[in-house]
Amino acid sequence: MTDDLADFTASELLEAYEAGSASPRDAVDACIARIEASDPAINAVLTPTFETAIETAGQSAERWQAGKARPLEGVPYGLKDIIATKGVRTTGGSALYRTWVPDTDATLAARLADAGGIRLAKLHTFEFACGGAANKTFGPARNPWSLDRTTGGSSSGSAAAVAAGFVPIAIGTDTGGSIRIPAAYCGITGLKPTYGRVPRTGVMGLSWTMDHAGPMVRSVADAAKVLAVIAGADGHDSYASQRPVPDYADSLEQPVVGIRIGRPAGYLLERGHPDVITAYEEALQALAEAGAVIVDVELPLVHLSEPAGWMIIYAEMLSMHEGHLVGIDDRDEMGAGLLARGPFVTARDYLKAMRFRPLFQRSIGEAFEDIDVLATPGTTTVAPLLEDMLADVGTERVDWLSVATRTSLPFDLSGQPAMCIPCGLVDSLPVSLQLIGRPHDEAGVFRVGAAFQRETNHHLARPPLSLVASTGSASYGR
Amino acid sequence: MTDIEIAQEIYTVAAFEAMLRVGGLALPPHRVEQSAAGYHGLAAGLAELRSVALPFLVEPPEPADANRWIEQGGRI
Repeated sequence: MTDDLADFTASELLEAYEAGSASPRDAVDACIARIEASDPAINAVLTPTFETAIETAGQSAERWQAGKARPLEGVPYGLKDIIATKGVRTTGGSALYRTWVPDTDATLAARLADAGGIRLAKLHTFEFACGGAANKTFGPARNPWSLDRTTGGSSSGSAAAVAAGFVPIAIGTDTGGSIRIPAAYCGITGLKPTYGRVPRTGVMGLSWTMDHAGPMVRSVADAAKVLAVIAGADGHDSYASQRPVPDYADSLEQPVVGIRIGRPAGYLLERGHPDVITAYEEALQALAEAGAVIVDVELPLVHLSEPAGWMIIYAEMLSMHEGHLVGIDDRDEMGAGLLARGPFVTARDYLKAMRFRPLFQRSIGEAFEDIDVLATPGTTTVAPLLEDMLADVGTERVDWLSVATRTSLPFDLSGQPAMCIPCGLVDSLPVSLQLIGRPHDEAGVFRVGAAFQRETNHHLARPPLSLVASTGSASYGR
Repeated sequence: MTDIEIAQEIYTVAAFEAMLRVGGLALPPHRVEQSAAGYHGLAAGLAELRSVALPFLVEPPEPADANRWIEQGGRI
């Protein structure tokens, strides 16, 4: 374990508080110091909330001393800036909302606060969670592993902040891969929970059929802790699951001996850089050595998740953001391009995609009759350079989005839980393993992910902060 | 003519401009061109998606079935 509290996981901080070897104020100070040193280079923070964080840290310390600590008592966290926060601006990463201050918290924000978390910052996002890496209003977030590369997105600031030691916990959202892609590119653990597991009340919408919110952290154990806090119906999100929230902690120590892990062929492994695919195979080998059984599986409809998923996203995005067609060229480029496709989705194609969705799920369900968890690469390439946003698949460099969403979009469509965890470095850049479970079996995903993190040290790798230490001064959220 | 060729013939700027007019919407010309190009890229997949048979007899798949599958843990 490092000595700098900014590099601790949430679980390690909680242990330190309980042992009395550190206080919430110590952790908040360490994270603020890291942000002030490195964020001018990374640009993950849009709005710092340091003053309230310091005040709240004092209250957390009192709770620890009084034996009244809550599940995340005194742990700093950040929120993707499409998540509403009462009294604190919520920009959506857009000039249009640069000064918007909500009068209520999103459900998940309120739950984190009620669990004792200390909000330290609102974090960079692609405009309206789809605008692309080149944010006209706030500039790009930069990958802490290589400042000339993208974090991925759209949960750009959340991934960068966790990777760089600004906060041990961030919340992201995922419609086509926006938690998992940046988690993979930045070398952290990112969970897209089951659709409906985390209510989206107070989160700016993109596509109600595909939108998810979830934790971005430094370990599987932390993902389990955070999910337990933010999951569960809230009476407002119509699609929120009515299922009780299980105790995920039980799954973290269970062995994986005999657990059957599916290895797909074809679409999900195509258009991948050979070195990234090799890292994926080595990750499966590590799980096999821990006792898991690797099983080859067929997913015959998975390639159709691409047209089906995009038809749904284009149509629902237009419905949500039709007002942004006026002045569309003022919006960030990738989002403008996606929004402009919405008017051309016919009712036939939207409804075909919506009715295809259960067929696709049943097809995956058949594969899961023989496996417990499916494993794919988190992404099939490393993070692209910001200057061209081209993904290197080994034989050519291609538009990043179609490649990056290839392993993520299918599971937004199916609604299954899917978690990316670091599984190595290629050319000094992170690569990732994705674990997909049956709906509402986050525990099964955590079980395999935790076993992998017991067997390997990939999740302990941190970006070289010498690259990101800055002599500049912070100018958050210009 | 294959399904893909038919689909690609449909995704023209002129067709998209007509769809915009029918929908009472407007886009800058370069966005229409960009969208037409985007649909060209999706044409093969979209043609295959369109060819998937979805029955109306007995238990036609409906959008709400997806949420039921999820809520039931991946079982029907």
